[in-house]
Amino acid sequence: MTGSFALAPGEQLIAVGPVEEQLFRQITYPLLGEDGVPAAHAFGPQSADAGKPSYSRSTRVTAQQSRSWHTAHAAKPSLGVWAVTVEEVGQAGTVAIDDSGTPQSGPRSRAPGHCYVEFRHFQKREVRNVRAILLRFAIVRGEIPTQP
Amino acid sequence: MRRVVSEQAPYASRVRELAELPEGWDGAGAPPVSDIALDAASSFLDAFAATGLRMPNIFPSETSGVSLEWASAAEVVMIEVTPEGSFELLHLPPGSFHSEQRETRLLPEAIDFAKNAVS
Repeated sequence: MTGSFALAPGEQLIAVGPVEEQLFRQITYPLLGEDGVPAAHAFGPQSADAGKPSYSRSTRVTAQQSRSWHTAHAAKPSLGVWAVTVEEVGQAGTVAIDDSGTPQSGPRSRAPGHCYVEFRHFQKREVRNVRAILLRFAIVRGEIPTQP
Repeated sequence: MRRVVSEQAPYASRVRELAELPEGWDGAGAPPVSDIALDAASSFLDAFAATGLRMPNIFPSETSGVSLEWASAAEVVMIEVTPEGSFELLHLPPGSFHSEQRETRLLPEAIDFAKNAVS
């Protein structure tokens, strides 16, 4: 199915490798629940993501580095790091794409190890299904230990 | 005037929090949560609290709605209250990658769905 995803110049499909690669997702207010579980929405595209929610590759940065960068540069500080693997993204029916080699648009710097999970081809119900699957995988793993 | 859940309800403060979110609460362009969605979510929460079952986490959605979620390592149950006051129901059962989804405008149907999925 990965053959149906069109890559922009500089983008690379992240393949499942011999070492399990995690994709870190920063959880911000108000998407962390009272029981410490994030919202399913947190694993899918937000209003400015255009179907491409940002993650960070564990083969490029540590969870702590990804959190510290986010808190220093993003609009809102990270409340914690949760993760899914590249393989789990595939099981959810989509792919992860490394876009760190693409030209930057706009003045904001891009997070180290930046990649995104592809949601652009999904209809609304598929988006909801994939978000729920990714959330469930992330809960199995639990929050990745980091410091504020 | 907006009807917000019973003032003493443990979830009332969270609903008020959502009601006060400004435009751009996601750090980008997310709209505020709609009054209609808050009213419908409040009605749901008041009715569901009477079941004695575990209450959901309460989140805003990026489309001006409210998302009510019961999520665990086994399964995910989600009711997204739309800005029009409809209930979009989702249940991802244990071991499955295909969620049951449907939409209703009827509060009792949404309550029954959550009761069956959560209990």
